Formats: sequence, structure tokens, C-alpha cells
Amino acid sequence: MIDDSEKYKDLISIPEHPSISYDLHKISISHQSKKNNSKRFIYMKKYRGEGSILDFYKPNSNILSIKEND
Amino acid sequence: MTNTYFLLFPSCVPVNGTKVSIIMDLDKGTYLEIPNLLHDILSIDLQRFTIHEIMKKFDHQYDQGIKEYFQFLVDNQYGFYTKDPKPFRKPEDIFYSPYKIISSVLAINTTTNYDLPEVLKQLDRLSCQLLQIRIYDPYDMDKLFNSLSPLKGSSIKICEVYVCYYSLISEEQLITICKEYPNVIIVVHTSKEKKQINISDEFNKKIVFTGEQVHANTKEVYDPSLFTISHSMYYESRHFNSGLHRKVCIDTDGSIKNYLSHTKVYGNIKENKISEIITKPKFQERYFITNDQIEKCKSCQFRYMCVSNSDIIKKNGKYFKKHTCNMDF
Repeated sequence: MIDDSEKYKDLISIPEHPSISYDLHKISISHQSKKNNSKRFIYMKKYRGEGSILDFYKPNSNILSIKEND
Repeated sequence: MTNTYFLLFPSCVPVNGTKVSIIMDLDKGTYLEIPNLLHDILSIDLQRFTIHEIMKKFDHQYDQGIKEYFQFLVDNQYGFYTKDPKPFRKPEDIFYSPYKIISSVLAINTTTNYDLPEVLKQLDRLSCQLLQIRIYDPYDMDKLFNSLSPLKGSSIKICEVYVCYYSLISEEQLITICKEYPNVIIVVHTSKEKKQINISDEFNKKIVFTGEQVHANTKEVYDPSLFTISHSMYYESRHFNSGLHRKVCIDTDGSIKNYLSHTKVYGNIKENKISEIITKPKFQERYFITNDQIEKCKSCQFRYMCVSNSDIIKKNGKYFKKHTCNMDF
């Protein structure tokens, strides 16, 4: 998966303004932001469209022993 | 040292074996081999006894070893020291799953005539999470493509499809299936050549061609590289048979079983709904026979990470697996 975390850095970091309580930080960023966040939602849709989380806490039944580079 | 306690992290679980024990790290999905004696030490109620008291319990025979081992475990993030063990409670030893069926295996050959799309719909209604479809003989890929349509929007997270190689099989058709159904993983068995086709670089998804054969008598593979360590796997295997718990299988004739290789049949998919079969107490019996109750498995240090779907027989009041691993632990 491509690491796009740099794109959302401003959404992840919390401003140090002491008068804003912690739980309001995220709201104030999204309200004040002049950036177009719609790209973020396109990214999420793309992720859901192209793949799914191919992981589960256990296997179903192991009948083949295929290694990564076979 | 006199009033210092050593505790394992709650996600680090010691498990004893016949020759050697381990500590499973459920967070990291790893394990560490340790001597059985250290397992005995770690099995003491560590929250009740200080390190000094533990050393006293062993008549101070192993003081140096205990000190070094505890430090080793701390250095490798399996445990920690504390002067107050009370706040550190052990997690509850429970397993909960909302799914009526967790996993299913279906088998298909040239004589199979049950309605595959209908079976997929029934499994979806039971919130089945994992599906494996074993196609033993050459099969029309267009038919497969259409039959898998109930997978779209279904509960099934992962669907492994084992397809039999034949000369007319088209890579394009296989790629189309994988792109149309993102939760499908295709393995082509009985292939003349071993290769892998990349579907998506982004998600590391491949179609694998293997020379190994998949047929009605294919046995399960037991290998440490296939063991699974996770919180859910550990707690499930403490209370249930991790392979057979909430699993339903349908063989090539439509017979409904706990697993394909079992002989006991509970119904037929052409006449019965899966939902009516899985609620029968007899069907659910094997759900509750854990590795802790089965001979050989109960003294294996890997019993909480090994998924086995073997049938279980009872002899002289003891449980045995019909097919066991040949590993000598």
C-alpha cells in the first residue's frame, strides 16, 4: 500500500492553542481549513474499491504449503 | 528486589509443552521458546509473590537463573518490574463471536450438482467470514464468475478458490474474477508450471499457480510457518476447537459435515438449509472439544496457535485426533 500519511499530516497534528480543549481541536481544524478534503474521501473509496482487508485472525484450512516466492 | 514483583504483560502468555515451553506474544504475533522450568516459575501467581518470595519457593536453587531470565524477559518486552502489582489485572479469559458460521469449505467436482450461488447466499445470511472453494476438476471459468456473484456485498471477508489447471484456462478470466471480486484469492493447483501473476501491486495480490494437487483425499498441512498467533485465536482455542468451531462444510455430493474429510453426514444441501443443520446439538459437539482435551495436542506448546480440522474420536474416555501432525515437539 502507498503511504499517504504525509498528505494528512495537518489533520493528524493538534494545534497548541491552550484555550481550545483537546476534543475541539479536530473540529477547529476542519472548520478553519481552506484545503479541499474531498480528496481524502476519494482515497478511502479507492481503497475500498480496489481491495479489501485480506486478513483474518485464523486460517480456514491449510492444505497447501505455498511460500511467498514459490 | 525484596518487594519487587515481576509480571508478564497481559498479552504475553506462557504455554507449556512436553520438551519445551513458549511464551506467546499475542500483540506482536510471535513466540519465545523457554525451558519448562521457567514456565513452572512463570505459572506461579506472579501478582502474589515478590521475586524474592519466588526464589525462596525454589529453595534459592535457581536465584541467578531467575534473575537473569526475568531481566531477559524485561529487555525483550515480555515483562516488567513493579512494586505494586494490584492495578495490573489479567484480561478476561473469554471468546465471543457474533457470527453463526465463522468458516466454510465447499468442494466441487464434475458430478457436483448443488446450487453454488444459493449456498453462498445461505452462508452470507449466517455471517460466514471465511470461505474456501475447492474445485477438484477442470471447471468453466465463466460459470465460476457468475456463481460467485452473491459474494458482492456479502459478509464473506476472504474467499479462497482452488481451481484445477487445464490447458484452456485463461489468465485473463482469472484476473477478471479477482478484479470483479476483491475478496477472492485464486490458487491454480495441479499446474505444470509454478508461477505467480500480479493482480495489484498496491495490495500485493497475486494468482498463484502450484504443482500441488487438491483432491478429495488432500490432507491438511501442519507446519510451524502456518501457525497463527493472535488474541482472538488464543481465546477461541482456550474454549473451542479452533478449526471446527462454527465451521460448516459441503462435499461434492452436497453432504453437510463439520469438515470435508469427516465421515459423519448431518444432511444434504439439496434438501436441507445450512441454518437448520448447524443448530443441531450433534453438529455442534465438535465445536467444544479443545486441544486442551485431546491427547497429544494437550501437551503441545503450539496448541493455541494450530488450526486443525481433524475429526476427533473418543476411546476409553479420552479424545484423540484421527489425523495428527507428525511433528515431535
